[in-house]
Amino acid sequence: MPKKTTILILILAIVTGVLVFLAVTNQGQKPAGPTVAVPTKAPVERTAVLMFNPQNVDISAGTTSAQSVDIMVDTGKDSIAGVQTELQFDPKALTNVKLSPIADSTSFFGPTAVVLFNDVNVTTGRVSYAIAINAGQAPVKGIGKIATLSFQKAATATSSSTTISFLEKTLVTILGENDSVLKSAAPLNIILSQATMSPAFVPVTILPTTTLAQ
Amino acid sequence: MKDFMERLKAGFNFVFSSYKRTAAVLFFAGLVLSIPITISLLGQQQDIRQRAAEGAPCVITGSGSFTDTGAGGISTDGPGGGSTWVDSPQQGTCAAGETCVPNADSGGGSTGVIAGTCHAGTAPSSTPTPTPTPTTPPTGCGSIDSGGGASGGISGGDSTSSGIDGQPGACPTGSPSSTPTPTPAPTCTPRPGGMDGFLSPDGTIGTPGVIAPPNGGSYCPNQAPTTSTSSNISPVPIVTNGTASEYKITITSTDPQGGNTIFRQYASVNEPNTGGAQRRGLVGWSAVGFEKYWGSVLKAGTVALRCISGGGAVAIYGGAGFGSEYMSVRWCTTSSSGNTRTTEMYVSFNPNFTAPASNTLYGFTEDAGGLYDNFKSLQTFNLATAPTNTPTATPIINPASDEGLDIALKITGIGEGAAALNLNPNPLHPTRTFTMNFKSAQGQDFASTGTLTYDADTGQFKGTIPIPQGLVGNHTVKIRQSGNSANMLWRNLGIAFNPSQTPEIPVVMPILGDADQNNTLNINDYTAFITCKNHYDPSNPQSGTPPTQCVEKEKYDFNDDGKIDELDLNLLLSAFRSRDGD
Repeated sequence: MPKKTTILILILAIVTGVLVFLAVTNQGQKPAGPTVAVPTKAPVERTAVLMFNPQNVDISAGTTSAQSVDIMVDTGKDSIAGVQTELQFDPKALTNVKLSPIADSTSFFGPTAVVLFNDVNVTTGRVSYAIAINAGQAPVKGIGKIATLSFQKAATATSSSTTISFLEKTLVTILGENDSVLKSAAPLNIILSQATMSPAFVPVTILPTTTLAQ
Repeated sequence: MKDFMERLKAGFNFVFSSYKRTAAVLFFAGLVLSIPITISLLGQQQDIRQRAAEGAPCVITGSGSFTDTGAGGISTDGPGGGSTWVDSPQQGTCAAGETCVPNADSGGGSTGVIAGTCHAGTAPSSTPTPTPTPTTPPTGCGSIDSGGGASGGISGGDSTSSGIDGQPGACPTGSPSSTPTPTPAPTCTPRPGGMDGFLSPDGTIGTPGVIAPPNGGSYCPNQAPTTSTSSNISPVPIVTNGTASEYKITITSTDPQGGNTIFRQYASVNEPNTGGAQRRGLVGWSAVGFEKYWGSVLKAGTVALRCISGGGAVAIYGGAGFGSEYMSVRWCTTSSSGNTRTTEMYVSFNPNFTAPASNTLYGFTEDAGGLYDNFKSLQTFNLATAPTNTPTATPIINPASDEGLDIALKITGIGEGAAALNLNPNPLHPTRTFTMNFKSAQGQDFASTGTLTYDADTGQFKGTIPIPQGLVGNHTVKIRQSGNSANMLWRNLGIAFNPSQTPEIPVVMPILGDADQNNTLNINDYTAFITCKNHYDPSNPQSGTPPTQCVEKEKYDFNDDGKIDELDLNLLLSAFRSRDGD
């Protein structure tokens, strides 16, 4: 047999083998594309904190002007996907309670944030609000503003102070996990009347934060 | 080894001892070569077909001349907004050699980012889509404007002319045309007001009375305007969750040019513009493509909801003075026949809807010619407090029936309808299992399970669910889907069921999105959805085990088309208007 024929046969065999290998291995591969962060199954560490800014306000001066406070989130170590705040206030002490979502460029979740709901029930004193990242948006980490809450002293207010507190259904979520990463949420302390206030009361004192059940 | 080589050499010498044998070997080698090449080519072809079939979403950025699909039923950023929900991009990019082609558009309002679909082939590069040349509108009325966004839909534009986006402008001397054929210029100017002669060149309410036509022209003497003719408000005992009960507001309007030229209808409770008291809720229906008028007045946190039949969408207006704290909008239907259009807007009254008990319902109608009447008083109704459904206790005690309850259930996103509604007419799971709960007046629960099957003619899931044995007296009845893919809130049928009777059960409209089945929609359900939407995004295929929430993909594929996409996202966001199950 001529040497050229032998060499040709060997080359053909090698090429065939390589092509068969490539064809078989490519069938099992998915097309390459940009990768998206796959949610990990690492244990959830609750590090997020919700708070008001300022945390203490004095509206004892009158009932005509509205007081505004920001609702802030500090994510701690977590990169979060959304926040649901369930607030409780005393409708006899506060009136004109309104929550303004922050979903523009100043929002913690950015201008593409999605406001899922924003309901104020003036009868029960319940404020339900949820804001989150949009689909495809990366989770966010850090400290920022998610809403502004405004209110006035009600003419029917009889107590010297009141609070707006976070209820247990308040949630901070991350992608890929069912559990909330909320560690604590501090209430807003409101002075309604200086006259009946205890001399020991210091308006700027930050009250102990409520640590939610783990 | 040496012996083996010798034998191998001898074999080669035999095979290649003649040209015929050499040719045979080469032919055989060619056959072997063709196998992997064929396999490889088939694989590539399959990938291409699959991508084309799936329509992998992709990102198109920039604000060029393109438009979007008008899909999904929700749009706060203007018409055609379904695929560009709140102007957010769909994630992902196309693979090498593929082009991100924008979806076709039925409306406008897109600003900067828009959905597209990956297609094999050369791309028009960064230009989102070939730009059709806008048809030069004929003078006068009758020009076609299929939408248009603030940043320039090519087939639309924020029209400031009297022509209406998405529909031909109404000509006073002829019927509207669906084609952009030149229309003779009118010799007169359509009267800009309705029966009440209101002027609204910029969409605002003007002063009633006779308004002089612009440019010194004259009004068309035979131009009869549109008008709201009647309304009706009646309780619809479908939803009862302890805080609100559902009502149906029906607005009927007529237009000499046909009910199909009416494109906006409103219902206002206690309209202040006509001397009424403080407004206690304003809901409005607009035809497909006109939701852009709602861009600045939608109640925060709400969306425009596509009607389940007839097209268009309904919204509750927010902002100071609209009274959105008194009312919520739930869903709608609309239809036109002859010169009449009838729109049903389903609403619920919030708990703070208290005194005064006497309220007046006002209607408002606008047609495609820019003509509209003013808010006019249509009906007075009494509603002192937001009602709740309390089943009437009747002392009927009979043995339990062994028959079942006939159930018809309409799932949002599934069914037949106009293309703009983006309904899926062929659900992948046409037969589903549902659980029904019967609760007695004493609080005793009974459960029953049955299957409902999709009926393509009606777009509803229908079937009979057995009645549990042993029921005595009246029961409230709730239903929701069961099984691993269950994602519905409990829905009250709104009947006081008694086994001795055969009640007529209204069509059930379940609320989707409750992935964790805790009977409330909250941030957890939304976060789970976007987690799984990211995971199953065909343009960003994920490897490895899905996140825990995503094992049951069907939970998030609300329209049951096999994909978790922007349409499903829109359906979920719509569902958040009713967050608590019954």
